[in-house]
Amino acid sequence: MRSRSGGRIAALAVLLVACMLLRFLVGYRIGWPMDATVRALRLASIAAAIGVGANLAISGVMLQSLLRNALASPYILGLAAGAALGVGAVQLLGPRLDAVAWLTQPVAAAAGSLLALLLVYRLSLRRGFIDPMTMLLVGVMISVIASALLMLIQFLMGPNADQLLRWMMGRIAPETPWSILAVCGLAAAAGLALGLRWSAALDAAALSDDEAASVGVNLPALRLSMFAIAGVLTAVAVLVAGPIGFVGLIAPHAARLVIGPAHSGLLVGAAVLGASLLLAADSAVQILPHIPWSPLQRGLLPVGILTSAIGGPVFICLLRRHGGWSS
Amino acid sequence: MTVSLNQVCYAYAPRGRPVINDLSAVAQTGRITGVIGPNAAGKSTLLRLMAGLLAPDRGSVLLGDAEAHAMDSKTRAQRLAYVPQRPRVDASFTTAEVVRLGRYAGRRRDDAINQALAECELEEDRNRIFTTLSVGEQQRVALARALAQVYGRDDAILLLDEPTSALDPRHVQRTAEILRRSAQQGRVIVAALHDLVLARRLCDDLWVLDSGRLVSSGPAAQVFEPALLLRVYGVRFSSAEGVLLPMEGGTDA
Repeated sequence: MRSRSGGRIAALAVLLVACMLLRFLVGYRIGWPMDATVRALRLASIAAAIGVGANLAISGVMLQSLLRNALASPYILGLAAGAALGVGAVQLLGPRLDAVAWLTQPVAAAAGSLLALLLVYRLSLRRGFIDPMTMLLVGVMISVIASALLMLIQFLMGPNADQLLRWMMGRIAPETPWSILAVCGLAAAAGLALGLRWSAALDAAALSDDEAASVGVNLPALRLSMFAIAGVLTAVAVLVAGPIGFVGLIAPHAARLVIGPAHSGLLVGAAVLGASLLLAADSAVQILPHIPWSPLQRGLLPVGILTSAIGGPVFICLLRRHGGWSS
Repeated sequence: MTVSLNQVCYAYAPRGRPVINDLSAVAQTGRITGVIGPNAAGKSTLLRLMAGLLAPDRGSVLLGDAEAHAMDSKTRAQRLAYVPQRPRVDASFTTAEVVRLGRYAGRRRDDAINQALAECELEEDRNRIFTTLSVGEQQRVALARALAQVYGRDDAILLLDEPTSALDPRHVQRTAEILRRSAQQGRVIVAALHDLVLARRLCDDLWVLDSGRLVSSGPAAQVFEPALLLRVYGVRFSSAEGVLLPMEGGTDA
């Protein structure tokens, strides 16, 4: 079984390389970039998409296992809404208050998402332990509250809310500094390594709570670890690309179908698929303006819109098919 | 290794109704102890306390000389296996993979998994997805998982909550044989049972629970008194030919 999943992961790796090559060949012009600057920008885009996609996918696997719910995704924790609220608050208050003027957009996004993370954690505790169902509901509520506050900020900003709206659509920016890309890559590698270290416990946690504890899983420690890792990975992804929906939902599902439920292969497969998915979506965003009848001649479609447009219907299909947990 | 309960009290809510009330008993090595009593008597809660899954509000649950709930989870899992009434797996693991999860705290041993599958007659089902199995088959997989967990440990403790509630007669018989053999190896077996016929035939000792209190304990013949069963269950029983049957019109309303 192990060799079979190894072969499938290798096939996914080939898919990833193909997606990387595709993204390298598409941009303002389609074909091999002759200019060194263009090549560097495309490599940065590839690195960003791989890092963000892998972070979201690993986070999705952990949250779906932690919450016992196949419809859970990184944004269920309210992290994206928290990040957007942070960015919105800085854009609204920055010009008026010296105290927040120094905050850059990425710092505000990270601060907002981590604040949401702490709130969800604090409110999910029951008798000192994380309760999965409470966490799911608290995450949804934090998202609703943050979204309402964000709408208020947009209302108060009036026509100046354009930049905030664009950020909220999610974008793989080729001009992302390599230092931030390095942080993103390191986070993905560390998250994957920690997930693999806990993979046997994640497998056993698929049993009921009583059975999992009786076979030796320290459930409180496992849940706290997975929650913290998933939260940080999502915050890093939001910091690099803004809120990009559904990669963290779809990639774990697809990986489960290809690799199976055992987390040692599932985590690796989901990370590779998440990276491939975002690379493919970003490539599609580059290709769309080249289509003659495309209305997107003057600017690029934010990749978050594309992932949501594809992910939304897939989510509904999953919901109708499974209603909860699926293979 | 014995399991000792000393004046154990437990309630699910602070200052709530005690589900287990001042209960003291010892489950002995090499014997099968049956826990019987009506619905909501506290049988499942008692097993969860013995498994260290719950911490008693008062009193102590000792595995040998160690507090069950305070033990390191992996150390406890190597000594004790627990089978719930309704096993659950939230992933598409196969039968063999679920049984393998029993080895989480120990060394990965294929012989442990193969033997457990064979004992529970699950070899032909080893590649079937757990969630597609019938409830009875899932109960057998949970028992196999527990056997794999304590494989090679003759001093282990097996706690089973209604392990035969969904089984057909042949597999009830098979499960009884497995438990008897485990007891003969020197293990402590404690099973919550609703089937009084099975309890009388299988168990060496019985604990009778009513509203969280231990109202009687001892060898089966001693415990199966019509007056006690009438008081606990509110039903009159006949014990003709060693088989307990509720008598017609015997409800003590």
